Formats: sequence, C-alpha cells, structure tokens
Amino acid sequence: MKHADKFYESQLNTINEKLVKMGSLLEKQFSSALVVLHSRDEQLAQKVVDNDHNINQLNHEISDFVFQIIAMRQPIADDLRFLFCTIKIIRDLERIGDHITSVAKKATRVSKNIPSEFTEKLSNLGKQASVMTHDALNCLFERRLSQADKITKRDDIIDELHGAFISEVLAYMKKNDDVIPDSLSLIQMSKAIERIGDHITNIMEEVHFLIEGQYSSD
Amino acid sequence: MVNSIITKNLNVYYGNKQAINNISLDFLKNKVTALIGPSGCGKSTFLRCLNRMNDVIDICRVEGTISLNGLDIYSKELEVEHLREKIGMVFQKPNPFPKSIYDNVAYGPRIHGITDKKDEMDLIVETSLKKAGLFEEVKDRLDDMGTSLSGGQQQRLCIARAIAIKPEVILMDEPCSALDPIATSIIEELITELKKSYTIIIVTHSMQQAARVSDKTAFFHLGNLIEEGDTSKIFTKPDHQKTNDYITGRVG
Repeated sequence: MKHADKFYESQLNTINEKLVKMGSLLEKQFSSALVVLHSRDEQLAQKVVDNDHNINQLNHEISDFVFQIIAMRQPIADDLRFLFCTIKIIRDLERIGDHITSVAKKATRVSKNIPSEFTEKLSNLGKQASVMTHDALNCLFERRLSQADKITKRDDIIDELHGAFISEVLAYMKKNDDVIPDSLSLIQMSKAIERIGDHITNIMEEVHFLIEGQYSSD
Repeated sequence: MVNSIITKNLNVYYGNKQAINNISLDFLKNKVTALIGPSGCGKSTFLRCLNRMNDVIDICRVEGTISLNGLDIYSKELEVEHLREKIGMVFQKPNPFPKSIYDNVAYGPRIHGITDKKDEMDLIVETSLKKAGLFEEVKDRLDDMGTSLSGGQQQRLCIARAIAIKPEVILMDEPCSALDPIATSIIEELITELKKSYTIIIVTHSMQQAARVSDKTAFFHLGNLIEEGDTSKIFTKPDHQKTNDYITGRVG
C-alpha cells in the first residue's frame, strides 16, 4: 500500500532509488577492480578511484535526506525501520567502496612476476565477495531473507580462503626478501576483500532487522 | 500487573448499525493506554462505553461486560453518578463550567458530598490544581472565571476537576487536539505524572502523541480491535499489516 501523502511516498522512493544506485555503482566498481587484478590496467584502476567519489557522494546525499525525513515526518514502524537501516547500510556500502578502491590501486603496484596462482586465488576471493555483495543487495531491495544463510556461509568461506592465502604468501615471503613489497600488497588486498565480507554481514543483520523488526539471534 | 478495567465481548449498536464488534480489551492499572484508529473505527464509542456516556443515546445498545476492579459497570444497581466518581473524563475541547476556577474544581466533591467543610474543600482544590500542574499559575486568582484561562490552562483545569473526586480511571478523548505544542507537551508530561495515581485511557489521532505518552496501544479499525500491545512494539514492528498501514499513513 502507498502512503496517502504522495510527497512522503516519493521521498521514501527517492531514498530507495538512491540506495539502488549506490548498490549498482558498487557492483560495477567491484567487477572493474577484479579486472584490474588480472590486467593491472592503470587507467581502469584510476577510474575505480575516481568513481569512488560518486559512492561517497551518494552516502552523504542519502544521509542528509534521511535526516531531513526523520525531522520533518517522524516516521514510524516499517518506514522508520527502513530509514534506520538505510543510515547504517550506506555506511557499510561506503566502506566497501573504499576497500574496492584499495584493491584496484594495489593491484597496479604488484609486479607481474608474482606467481599467477596468487592472482587466481585473490581473484577467486574477490568473486566470492562480489557474489556475496550482489546477493545481499538483492535481499535488501526485495526485502527477503531466503538467501541469508547462504550469504553468511559465504563469509565463512571468504575468511577461510583469506587465512589460507595469508599463510601461502607468508611462506613465499620467507623464501625471498625481494618479494616482500609485492607480498605485502597481496596481503593487504586479501585483507580488504575479507573486510568486505564483514561489511556484507553487517548489512545482512540490518536487512534482518528491517524485515523482522529485531536483530537475528545468531 | 493488575487490570483496572476488563471489557469482555463488547458489542455496541447504534440502531441497526454495529459500531463495536465483539471487543475484549483489558486496561492495566497505573498505565496509559492509547486507543488509535481512523475516524469512525469505534475508538471513541468504546471510550464512552467505559463510563456509560452512551446511556443517554436512545438508539445505542451495549452488549457484553465491562468491569472496573471487579465492579460490573453496567449493573442495574449501579448509579451512573457513582460510576463517574470512579471514572473521570477529559474532552477534546476544554469545557470548564462558567464558574470560578475554585468552583470548577470544587463542583464534583460538592455534588458527590465528599465534604462540606471549607478548609477540607480548600485542600481538595489546592491538591487537585497542584496535581494538574496549574496551582502556581492560578493560586492568586482562584475566584476568576475558569473560562478566562488560556486553552492549555483550561484543559488542566478540566483535569483538576476530574481528579478532585479521586477517580480510579481518567478517560481522555483527544485532550490536546485544540492545544498548541507547548500546552500539549505540558499536558503530556502531566499524563505521565498522573499515571502514578490513576489508570489513563486516551483516544488520540496523533501517532506521535500515542507513542510519547502511552505504555500500551490498541488499534481499532471498522469497529474491530485489530491489535493491542506494548506501544514500543506497535510503533516499531506491529504484528498486523493493517496497523502498519494506518500508523504510517498508507491507503489503497
């Protein structure tokens, strides 16, 4: 059902549209960063860095708009839950954007001599996080929790892959001092992706609250 | 938690039209319960049943039971005047009697024969005005007409008048709808203070007011009780879609 006040209805729709836009920008950024992982394309990496500004901008726009609606409309029930969750979710989305940017920037700094299996593993890790982001955003926009368990499990997989990857890179560093700078970049990229998984987990907690009115007991 | 008023299978008819459909709703002692719902949902009719104000409407028929601390308020033996000693009411528009401030408050105790001694009456008037948060503003002009006060003061005078006879329950039918935000917030603060001594049932069209002052909220729709529960729950995650749609202002 729609709000009797059409202006209020359109204000809430605007928030939702901006949230969708932020999510789709983020997904686009993510796929570009994964391309940079393989290609080391500096131009594309710079584009990712530049586009992050748009995500930050949306974060502020949505935040200001929600603040205004709370002050002017005193929303309650599902409207309030939506705005409350939006405020928290955009913060996670903005941080995910930063991590994606960090991956794109660091990928261009890694020399092409590193073993290709590292790039593959990092890319796999990135894909897991990318799918997780996509699924979580779908849950948010479609207001459903059917995928929630699957998404949470994917975070566990990411944590495991990240842990294993760090061990392998450490072993690689120990063999040769020269690869320390590259290895550090690999570790930082892996950590950035692992953090993305954590932010998605936060978002899923908010989606749970949005739909159920309380946080998940897990 | 003790119930002050228990209503069971309440049905109210105006002629052939049924205004309340089999509602059972209890009111906790020393709590504020808000009755909310769109115009014509039956909330005011329900409220008026609680002190038998519908008695004077010929075509109105009330079925079911309402008990106040175990007393059947529709019992034939119970005089309505006696019931109104126990259940006071404050209306939408402040309606002081065209009498002095003092006499407005003293009126109830006088007709109910609570006291005929001047010093005792003075004390009742002072205490009631103090409880209604009005005494300091009017103590030097108790002989002025009640109608000479501002709207917010008049409403507090009506509250003082209601509590002068020491009721157990106070019914309020949109008590702030004619008041400005400051007067409203004074009354709302007063409601929170008064619930320590009385059970309060308030009908309001302001969702924010219901959220601010009440402990429990009951949502009425087309004569039915859709949902009742803790106010904090109703305004954040109501169980029923109809409740959610109404409080968020959705139609369709």
